[in-house]
Amino acid sequence: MHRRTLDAEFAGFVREHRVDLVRTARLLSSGDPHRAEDLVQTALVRAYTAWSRVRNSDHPVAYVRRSIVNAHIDESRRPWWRRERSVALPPDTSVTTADDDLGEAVRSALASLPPKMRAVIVLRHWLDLSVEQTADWLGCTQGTVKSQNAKAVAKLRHLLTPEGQTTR
Amino acid sequence: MNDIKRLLAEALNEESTPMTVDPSEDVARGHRHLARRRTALVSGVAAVALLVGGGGVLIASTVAGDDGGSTRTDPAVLRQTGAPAAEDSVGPAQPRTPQVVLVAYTGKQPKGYKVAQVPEGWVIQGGTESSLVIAPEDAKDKDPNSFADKIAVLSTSSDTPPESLRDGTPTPVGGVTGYYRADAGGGTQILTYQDATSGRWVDVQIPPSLHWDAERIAEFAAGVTVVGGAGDSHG
Repeated sequence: MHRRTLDAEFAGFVREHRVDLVRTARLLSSGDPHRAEDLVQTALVRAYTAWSRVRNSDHPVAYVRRSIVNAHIDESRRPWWRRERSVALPPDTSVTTADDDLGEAVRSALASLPPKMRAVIVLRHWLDLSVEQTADWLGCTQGTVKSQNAKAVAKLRHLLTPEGQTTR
Repeated sequence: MNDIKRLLAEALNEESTPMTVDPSEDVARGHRHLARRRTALVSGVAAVALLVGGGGVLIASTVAGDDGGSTRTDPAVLRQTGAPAAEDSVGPAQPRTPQVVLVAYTGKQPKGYKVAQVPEGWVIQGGTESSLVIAPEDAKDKDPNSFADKIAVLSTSSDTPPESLRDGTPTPVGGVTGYYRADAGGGTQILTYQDATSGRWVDVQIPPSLHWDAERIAEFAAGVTVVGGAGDSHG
């Protein structure tokens, strides 16, 4: 198949799935749009490079999502990466609404989780992966996934439950 | 679990999420990445461009043997050398060329791989932890990071979907089963197999100018062993 045809097909894939991929990346990066964009771009470049193979896999979207998760974990092992970065343009000013107070609180709570624990939460609760799939993606045991998930859920509920209310 | 999903949805701040997508930038980034790495598909396109644009000279320079690279059309020669017409993916108008034979490799072994055989008249240009490049001895392009019209052996990425590694026609490679694709882009042939010694999955990319069939590619691949630390092909 010619590169031009593959390009057109890849472009169609991006058009269809990019917004969803960015959502997943944003959750992994605790709402940071720039870091999320980095993760998505990294994953899409990998997918493009292997597109003739990825397109024939059972779940091309899963391939890219998994690449995003891998990039997220890899990046979290490089602490220097986030210290300071120059960008061409100043960041977009976010639109703040009353509802976004909760959104900001959730993003802060997610940011308080270690990267791998955050990944467990995103894979299990946002992407609805099974414990087995999550363990496979993260390269850990199912027991680790269960314990990390339990700790993360407890911490999120603790941080996001208004004082005076009990959590269930 | 639902309350967690609802909370995650709140965290997305959809007002600042772009809802329209222009894929051209992602495609352009992919192009640039491929250009830097000179990966398989670019090499295939370049090879086809050379062949279509009067690349008979290139074929002549890469085909070893007493015929001096002349293009034969005698079907008996094709039968003898094992090049089936169906796998001559360059096109119906392309002159048929005999396969380049394999000879024992006696030179210095490259980093990351051990090589038993190379095409006659071809040399190892370079080996890294993730790639091995073999090219015609008189190739003008001496850059081991450029794969155009060369053999490239690449360790597959750890991100590669496991099911896609078996994408292709099952083909015996030594004691294991490889998977052969006759045209992975621009006439480039790819044989994917799991190296028995290291357990790593490997892509062997063959340029159309060699006119190899799956059997010959498997014969070459069976002589390649991944050694100490050959790693992921994605950077």
